[in-house]
Amino acid sequence: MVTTLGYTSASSAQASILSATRLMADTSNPYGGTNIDPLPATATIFTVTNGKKSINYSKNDLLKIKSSVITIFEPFVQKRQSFTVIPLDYFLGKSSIPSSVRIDTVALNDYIFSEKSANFSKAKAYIAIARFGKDIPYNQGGPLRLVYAGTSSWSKNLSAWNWSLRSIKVSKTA
Amino acid sequence: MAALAALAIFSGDISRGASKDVTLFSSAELTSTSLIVVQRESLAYTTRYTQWLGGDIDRREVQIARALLAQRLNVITSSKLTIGNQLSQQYFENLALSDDLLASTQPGILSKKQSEAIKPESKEFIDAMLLETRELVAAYQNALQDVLEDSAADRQFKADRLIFVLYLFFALSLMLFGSFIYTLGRQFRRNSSANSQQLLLIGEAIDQLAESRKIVNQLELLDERKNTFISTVNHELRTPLTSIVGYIDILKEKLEGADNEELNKIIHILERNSDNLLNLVEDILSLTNLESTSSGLLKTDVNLKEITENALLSLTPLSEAAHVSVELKTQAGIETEILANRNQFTEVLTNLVGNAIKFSKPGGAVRILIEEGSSNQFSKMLRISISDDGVGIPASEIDDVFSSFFRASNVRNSEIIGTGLGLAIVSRIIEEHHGSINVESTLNVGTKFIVEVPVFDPEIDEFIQERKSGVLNRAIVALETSTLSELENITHEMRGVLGFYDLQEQGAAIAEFETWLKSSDRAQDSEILIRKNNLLSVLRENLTELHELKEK
Repeated sequence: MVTTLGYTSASSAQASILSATRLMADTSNPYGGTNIDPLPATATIFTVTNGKKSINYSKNDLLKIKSSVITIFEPFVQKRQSFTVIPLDYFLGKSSIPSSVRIDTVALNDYIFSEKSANFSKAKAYIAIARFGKDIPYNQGGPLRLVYAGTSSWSKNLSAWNWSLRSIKVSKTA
Repeated sequence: MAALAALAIFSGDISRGASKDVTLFSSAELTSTSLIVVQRESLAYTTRYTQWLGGDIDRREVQIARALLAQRLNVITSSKLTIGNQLSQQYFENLALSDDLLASTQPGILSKKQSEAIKPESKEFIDAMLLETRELVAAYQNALQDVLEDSAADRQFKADRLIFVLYLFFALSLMLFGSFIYTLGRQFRRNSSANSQQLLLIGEAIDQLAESRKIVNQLELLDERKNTFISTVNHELRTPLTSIVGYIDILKEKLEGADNEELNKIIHILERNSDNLLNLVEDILSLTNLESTSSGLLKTDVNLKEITENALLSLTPLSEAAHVSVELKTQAGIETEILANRNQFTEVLTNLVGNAIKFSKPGGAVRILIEEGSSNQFSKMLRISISDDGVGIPASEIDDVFSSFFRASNVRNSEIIGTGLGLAIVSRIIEEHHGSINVESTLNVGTKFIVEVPVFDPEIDEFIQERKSGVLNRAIVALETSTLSELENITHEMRGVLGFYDLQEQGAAIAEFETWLKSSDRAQDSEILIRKNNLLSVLRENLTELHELKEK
């Protein structure tokens, strides 16, 4: 497993108590990085490759896929946040990636989190395409990121919460 | 038994030492991870910037690298890691410079003309960022070295203590061996079934120990939940209470001179009760903050004599009203600088001297003495004792004196009001200061509180000062670059960071602005901007003062 960051995990006790009071959008980043030149909604922002064939997804494409809204405890900002999500299984199925292979989830800055495809399914991984109904800013881990519900076995595995997702591909070592 | 006890102390010591080392190294590892991540993202951004300057990639890609750097910095701060103090003021100035340069150009690939125009400043930015990333590695090495040195000193101390314990253990073993053989023989003769019963008892004791560990874990979890809950509740209570007190003040002002005795009496009761309630909430909040693990305010050099004099000045109305004299004496020829947080320590003195006055009889005297305290090879302490000839504390209650909500039985029904949290707060603050507090009391004769705190060490002060300006600068940059909608969240975050670095006045200024923002939903943007600029002016002035102080 390739790790991104080794931060301490969130306190579940704190999460449960503050769940009601902390349900709010976190729209700030004091370190800047807010201005990004816009991209046409038809431009590719996400690619899934099964080793032979790639499927590109634009923002418009992603918006057409059936999604749901889940409210989860975000372990980095330690707040409850609502995300519009598509199950990762959808993309794996669409690209016919078998559950036995290992896949790389690659971020825009080339960070990689790798695991067996079946383990992503088991952990009920989602790709978040919006937060509180709005695009997720790049300086807050957007526009696409991997998230996990509180019931997931990876809800506290911070390495698995890969930010600014660019692509998914079958690992070379698969 | 004594030998077993010595062995238990010895093994417990080793276990605690090992656990502390793990914490130390884990802390160093987290810091190093943060440094490496920031270094990597900074380099990635600088590389993207250079590629863009050479016309190889479009502006959007540089902006994304910049955003990802900001995201990492923000996550590190949110995770309560301290990367901020490893980054210099220059680092954030460089980022701001690059933001300006990016914003001054057109989207897409940079034209040659534009590239030439921004090249000199860009070169300055690129060189500075490369230097900064190199310095981050040095900072990591320093941080690791600090941890190793601390650990080595700690180990040396433990090794010395261990040798002493082993000598003791050996001596005790020799003494006990003879009596053990004698007792064993007698015991064996007496009743062999007693031995099996003892074994059973030992087994039970081990089970109980395991059970105790479980209970401790549960209690720790409950304690954490309690602290979080109290923080939330207090916040919800304090805000309305503050406004109630404000309204009472307005009412009092309006009724001034009015001849309505009954109404004045009601207002007086309202005022007294809301003040009491507010004090209680403030005290609970103070205590909760102190009990939470992340309260850690950094300390600096504080003149104990000076803050005691200031505390006495603020307590003059109380002592005059109670007809109690207060006398402060300082041992001749001693340094009275201590390593403390000024506000917290003022609270300690106000509480202790305030109590001494409150519980003294009219005509009584409170005596304060500052003198040299205990010292060893690792630290030197300063002692302050506060004595009164008041009502005293019953001997059976003296052990509970620092517990929350403690009120001595002989004053519980008196007219002397109090929340019973003051001494709990005092004790926690002293603990935070690595000091000690003791109490001696005789009923109806008087009470003496003896506090010892470490004296000021200039090397530690230098460490704090080095980092203060960087943190303040970060707050300024964050405020400058934030949009109006982001302000509330940013001020909230900044307030915590500034408090951590003992920049309390600046934290208070930001807190005031934050409170105003929250209560001004209908405020015009222009009004917010004016207030934001005023705040920025104050912070910039403070930053200049810090720089000047550092140069001196």
